[in-house]
Formats: sequence, structure tokens, C-alpha cells
Amino acid sequence: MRRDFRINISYRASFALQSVAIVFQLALFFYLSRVVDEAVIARQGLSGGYFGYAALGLALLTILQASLGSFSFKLREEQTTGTFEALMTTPTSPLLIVLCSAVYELIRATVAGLILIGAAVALFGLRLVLDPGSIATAVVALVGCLGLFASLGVAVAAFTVVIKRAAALLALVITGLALLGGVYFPIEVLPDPIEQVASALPFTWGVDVFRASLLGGDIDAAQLAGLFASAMLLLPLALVGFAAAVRRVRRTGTLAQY
Amino acid sequence: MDGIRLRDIRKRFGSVQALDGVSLDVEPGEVVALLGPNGAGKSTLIRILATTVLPDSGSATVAGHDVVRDAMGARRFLGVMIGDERSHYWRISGLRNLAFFGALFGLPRSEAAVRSERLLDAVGLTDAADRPVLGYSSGMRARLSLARALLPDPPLLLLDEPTRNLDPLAAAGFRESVSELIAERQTGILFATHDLHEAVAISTRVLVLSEGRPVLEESASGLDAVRLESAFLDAVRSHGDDEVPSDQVVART
Repeated sequence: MRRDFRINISYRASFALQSVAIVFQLALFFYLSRVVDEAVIARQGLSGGYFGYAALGLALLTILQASLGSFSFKLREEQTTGTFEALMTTPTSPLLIVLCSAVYELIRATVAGLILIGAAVALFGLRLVLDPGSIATAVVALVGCLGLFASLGVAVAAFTVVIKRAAALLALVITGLALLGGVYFPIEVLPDPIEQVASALPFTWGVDVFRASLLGGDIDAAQLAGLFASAMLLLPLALVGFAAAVRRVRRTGTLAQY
Repeated sequence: MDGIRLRDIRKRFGSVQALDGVSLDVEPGEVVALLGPNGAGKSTLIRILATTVLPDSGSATVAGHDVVRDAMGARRFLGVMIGDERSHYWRISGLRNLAFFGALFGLPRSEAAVRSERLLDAVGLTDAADRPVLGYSSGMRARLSLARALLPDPPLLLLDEPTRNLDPLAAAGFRESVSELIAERQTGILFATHDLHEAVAISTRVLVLSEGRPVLEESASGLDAVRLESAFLDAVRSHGDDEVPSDQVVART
């Protein structure tokens, strides 16, 4: 984590530009909320109108996007610079290396997501429910989401190790979850078959619980339990997949290729 | 302690037989130079021992640890310098690069810090220790790679063409660093090189590969670059590689 932090703070302009981009995104949804029919949102039983709905969904999507994107980008960078091969010659497990890399990216992405929420409150007047219970629930939901994002990150890393370029896969995952996860609109507006799929996604559960905890909605305990269960199941599977990917490129002699 | 043991190693990449029955021993304190034309299998052999490539058949052990079944065990006894000199984190300093890899080698922070400083001094990078690697020359990066390979104080060292991107002066400086370190630590070394002078200068034994097969193995004692070049070309051509031109053999003055 110290290595990653030092490398990241050397890119000062990038950090500043990312912060500006967050504000622009929020502004887009703030003004969009003025033309959106609030009735659909009101049926969710949440305060904050469409802007609140979208801002919190966007916060989680930002965390997902930042963590997966950074993780894949960093692994790709390790491949192209040759440090990936150097890492694989050390007596530290590749699984531990990939997990520790994921931790830093998740922390960084979470900070980005919290900055977005902070900006929504400070600059655009979003009001959140901030009693101890709601904050605790939001934190628990966030932790569950981070576990899920870590498993997705490791899975994307496994693909990156083998196919070298995972940008298209990444775009597919993020766009798909944005569409189906209730980030920008309630999944109830989707056609029935698609709504069924959307309602079965752990990401959707995480978004629902996180949003409900901070906007005064009803918390579905089953969704929260399902989120954690999914993370606990998917993370080991993703790690097995990563180990298999490393073994494959060792066999084909393409570990150092990019 | 057991050194490096290779028995009948074979490796194919698609239609190319990169290694075709290579056997070799490298004992601690011994320096073996791996020579051969481009595509002879030198880097593949180094990478099999470094555990980044799996052999198709045969056995390879490092200090008694099989590189396939117990790769982690093998890595604990190895220092590896493969890839080119880019394989560092360019935006952080040489010292921090070593500290990071020290952690991956299982060294406590304080121990990693002490060793990093000592090794940077040994390879002549003390003045540049706190500068980002981005500002290092090729020679400096190669020496940083050597320092990284020595960080775990390994009994066995693998070097894949360590001076390939260095000018003659930097290469000579690098060889001097290696020679001093060999004398000090009695490390067993297997290094791949194109440079016959380098092979003769620092090795105790040379092994020549051609098309994945060993074609010549000779003690370096009493050998000079000219005789080695002659023997090298004879062995490679008699093996059937008549297309090897003499300018593939780099003899630096």
C-alpha cells in the first residue's frame, strides 16, 4: 500500500482532475433531477428526490469503476513495465500480491466515492439521514460492496493476466452493472425479465441497502445478508481463477508478455 | 546445500522446441555462463528456474525444491535478474523500490532498509538512492536490478543477459560489481550472455546451447574469448546450425 500511495501522489494533476470530474458529474444529475418525474422515485420511500437517488447510486458506481479500472490499469502497467514478472519471482504468493493491490485500490476508490457524497451534500444541498443506526448500516453495506468489488477486481485481474487487455470486459461489467444495478433509476422501470435479472444481482442489493440507509428508506436485511454471502463466495472463486490464470501464463511462457 | 539441478528439461512453444533435453548442475560458489545464438533457449532456461515458465518435462530443482511442485520454496533460495532494466517502479526512488521488494522477500522493514542501503552502496548507487528511478541511466537501472536480486541474500543467482543494454564502460562496471559480490558471498550463479569476454571473465564454466540443446560444455579456466568463440562456432555449426553468422557472437574489446 505504501508503494501504491507513493506512486499515486506523484501524479498530482490526475488526482486534482478526478476531483473536478466528480463535481461535474454531480452537477449533471443535479440539473437532470429537475426534469425527471419524481413520482417514480417517491414510490421508493426515499428522501432526497431523484438527485439523492442518483448521487448515492453514483457514489457506489464510482467506487466500483475506480477500483476495477485502477486495478486493471495497474496490473496492465505492471505487465508493460516488467514489474509483474519481477513480482512473480519473489516468494510471496501471487494471490497475496493481488489481494494487497486490491486493498489499496479499494481504499482509494472509497475515498473518491465519499468525496462525491460529500460534494453532493456540500455543494448541491443533499440531505442525508445521519443517525448512528443509518450510518452503521451504510458502513456495513459499503463493506459488503467492497468485498464484492474485490472479487470482481481479482476476476478482472485474472483476465488481464491471460488476455493482457481487459478494457472491453471492464467496460461491459461497469456498464452492465450501471444499467441493472439501480444506479440511475429504479429497476422496477426495466422490462420484467430484465428486472428479474437485476433484482438477483448482489450489486443491486448493495446499492439498495446503502441508499436506503442514508435516505430514510426501509432496509432489507435479506439483501444485506445476501450481499455478504455473495462476497464470501465470489472472492475465493476469483482467487482460484487468478491462480489458474498465473499457472496458464507460466505454462504458455507469456507471463512477461504484454 | 544443494544448488541448481536440471535433468532433461524440455519446453515447446507452439511449433518451436525451445529446450530439448537440457541437463545442468550449478553448485554454490560456481559461476556458469549460458551461451548461445538468439533463440537457443537461454532465457527460457533461466525463466524455468525462476519459476515464471513451466517446463513440459524433466525436472528442475533449486536447493532441493522442485520449481514446479514447490515454486515458492525454490524462490526463497533465488535472486533473479530477468527482464530488462525497466522492471522497476519508475516514480519512486531506488531505495523505496528495494524496500518494497524486501517486504515481498519476507524481510522485516528494518532489515530490508539496512540491506537496501548496503546493496545500493555495493553497486555504486548511494548518491542516487533517493532519486526516482525515472532519472536513472540504463547502467544504474541494471545495477539496481542486481541489488534487488541480492536483497534476500540468495545462495543462488540467475542473471539473464544482465549487460545487454549497457555500453562497454557500464558493462565493465557491472561485471566488476558482480565479481566483487561473488568473491564476498560465494553465490552460485547461472547467467545468460552473448558476450564471450564477459563469460570468460567471470565464469568458472560455460555451457553453449543451440536450438534448445547443449552443444558444448567447458571449463572457463585457461579459456580466452577467441578460443571460446572458435569452439562456440564449431559446436553450433556442427550441430547443424550452419546459418549462424559469426557476427551473432558478440566479442567486445
